[in-house]
Amino acid sequence: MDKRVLVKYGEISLKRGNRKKFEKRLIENIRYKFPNMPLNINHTWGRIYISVPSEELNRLTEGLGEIFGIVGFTETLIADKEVKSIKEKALQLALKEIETSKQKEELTFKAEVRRLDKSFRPNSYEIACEIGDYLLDSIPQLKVNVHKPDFIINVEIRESVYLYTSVNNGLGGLPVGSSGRGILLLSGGIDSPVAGYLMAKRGLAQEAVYYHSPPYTSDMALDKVKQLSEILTRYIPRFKLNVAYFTEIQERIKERAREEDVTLMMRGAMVEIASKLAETNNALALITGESLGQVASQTAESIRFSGSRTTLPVFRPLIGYDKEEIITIARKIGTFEISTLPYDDCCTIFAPSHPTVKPDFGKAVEEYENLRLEKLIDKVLKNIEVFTPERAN
Amino acid sequence: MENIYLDWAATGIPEEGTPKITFANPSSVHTMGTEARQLLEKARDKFATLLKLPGRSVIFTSGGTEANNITIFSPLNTINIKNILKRRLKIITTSIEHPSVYEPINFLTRFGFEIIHIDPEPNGIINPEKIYKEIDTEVILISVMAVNNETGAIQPIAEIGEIVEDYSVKMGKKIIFHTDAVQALGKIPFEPKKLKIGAASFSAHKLGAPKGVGALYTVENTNISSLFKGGGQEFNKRPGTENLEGIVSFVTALEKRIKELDKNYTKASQLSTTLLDGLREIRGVIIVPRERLQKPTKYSPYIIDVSFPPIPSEVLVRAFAQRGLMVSAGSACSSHRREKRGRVLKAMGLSEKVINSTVRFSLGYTTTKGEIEEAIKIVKESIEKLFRYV
Repeated sequence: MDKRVLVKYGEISLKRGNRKKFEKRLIENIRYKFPNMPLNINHTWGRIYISVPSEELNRLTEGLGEIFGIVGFTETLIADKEVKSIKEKALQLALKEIETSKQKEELTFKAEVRRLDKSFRPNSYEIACEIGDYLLDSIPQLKVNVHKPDFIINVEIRESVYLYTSVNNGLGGLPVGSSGRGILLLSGGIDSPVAGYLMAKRGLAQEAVYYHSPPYTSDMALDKVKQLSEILTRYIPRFKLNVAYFTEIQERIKERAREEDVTLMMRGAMVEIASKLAETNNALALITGESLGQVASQTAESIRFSGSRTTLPVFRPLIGYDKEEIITIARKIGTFEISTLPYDDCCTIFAPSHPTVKPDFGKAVEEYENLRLEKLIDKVLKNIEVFTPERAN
Repeated sequence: MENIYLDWAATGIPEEGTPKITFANPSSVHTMGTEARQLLEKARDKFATLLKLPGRSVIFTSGGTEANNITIFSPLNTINIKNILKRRLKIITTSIEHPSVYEPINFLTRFGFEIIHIDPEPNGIINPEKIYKEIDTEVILISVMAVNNETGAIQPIAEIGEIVEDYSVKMGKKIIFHTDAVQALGKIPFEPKKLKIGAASFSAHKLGAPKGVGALYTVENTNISSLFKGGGQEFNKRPGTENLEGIVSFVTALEKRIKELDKNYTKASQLSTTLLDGLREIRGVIIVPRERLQKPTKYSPYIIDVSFPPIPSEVLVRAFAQRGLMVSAGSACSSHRREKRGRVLKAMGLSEKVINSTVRFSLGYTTTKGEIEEAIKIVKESIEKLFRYV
């Protein structure tokens, strides 16, 4: 266990009571992320320190970059609680920086010392000066620059002394699960995976539901959604995919609803099913990738209708996003390529040529109720197949 | 295994479950290699005999696609590139060829070749007259498939062969007449010599033999050889260690199919009539092409195309598959590239509506009457349900 990583976390606004829960959840999620790695997690003074064998360091830092709640993380050295040891470790860090630096002639640095153990002597300023002098003496090409240094030697004096230079940016957000659990309506499109990711960032644990309608939709479309699940599970611990067999409902809607309302009714049924699934699965919210104005089913009137099929809150993190912005995120998280594979999830033979854009709410509700989908919906829920995506680690 | 085998660089000892013939490399000089060589040549002779061809006229390939590509790209081996670019050499082919003929021929346009695509009649059959009209001194290759893989339409290979031979004799010039015979071999009577064919491609797996094996027949004094270069195998026409297990399996299967060709053909004709009769009872069905009902002998009984507009082909295939019936949505190879589907049917003048709802039923020598009757039942019930919602 010779490598140590410091993990910085937390939203600054967190109050003391929540902080403990937050930390506990974050540590749980870190453990869940690395099931086969021998890690030692030390949690003191508002920091998390993880120790791993050196061959696991890369895998650890890669994984930490996918955990919500972490603001930054960095490999750190540990010194004994005396100035000589601190100076030695600082030198080690400086040498490493020089080795990896692109410019070799002159490098500038600064030492920043934080003394949380006030019993330690000398004080921060003096320690910083000692480090500075020692490094300048030992390495001729180094110079000090307190305003814009090339690198900073950070020293934290706690129960031990921790030294590190640069900090990798974490994803930020809140640990997944600290805001409860939701059901994500996942299609194979670009938007819904991004919506899931953004809500996970606010701490919402999730499972997804996908509506599969053989023979109208293909196994390849289902496979696409499974691949998307495999990506989302990197960011969302305990993620799973519920495959709901939607064929009979699609056929009933096609038979009984007006042609132009088919898509609207289908979305209503999908929300209702997801809502009932939430109840049995201890989820308290739904998540969709809806963005206002993107397609006919995403007008305020249509959203009002489909949202009315549940009393749970429906989180629509993309409601104000442009397509370009959504695509940027999809690329960043790795779902874009898969979403753009050409397998449709909703068979075009059911899509109306002139869908209703601004449905009258009362009429839509009445039409939906006349479909009498209750028994079919129960059947769908009974026959859901759960798919647990494979985890890369 | 009494021998000590230390020639793994030539070929490795195969895993359990591979057919029980010698595994050695036919090009190896040791006794095991010689044994392999003899097996290979015996297979070659048998293959040639079954098709009434001279022994050395057949080489083995990795399949029908390779055989087609070898023939089509061969001019780049034999004709000086400068001459190709100077003249405007021509190739006559059809718009209904399999992609493994259509694509390489199109690719040759990069070398300055002019390609003439003959469209079929609405019945899916090429009119030999149209080929005759296009022949001139610049034509070096004519490629027309023997049996179309989507519709089963049997092409007039004998007539085209006559036309090409006449021209060659008259003008003292050689035009290679190639046919992709993949759907003909072992299913309908096919004798390359009688048909005056210059080259023919064959595939093993359509007969129930393994995938990854095919053959190419070329008439003597034809310089057809692969663009691939290497160890000189197959009379220096197609390099690469021979797939002996595949070849032996290929020839074993072919022998059985040729022996029972007439018997199987009669049975297949009966089955395909039963199938067509059953499918025609479904309201809204379209037989593709309609003319096959009037002239059934012009179509291979082993391939039947039907359409059920407006239900999309893929939905039909999935609906039938759910009930245990496996068929194809258009040609099996083209399910990889959506945009390119429908070329053959479009050339026949069919509407997009019909093309997008086409499925292909294809039989084999093991297909039974019971299976056909069950298939009809499955289709009827599935279509009834699907038509309710579409």
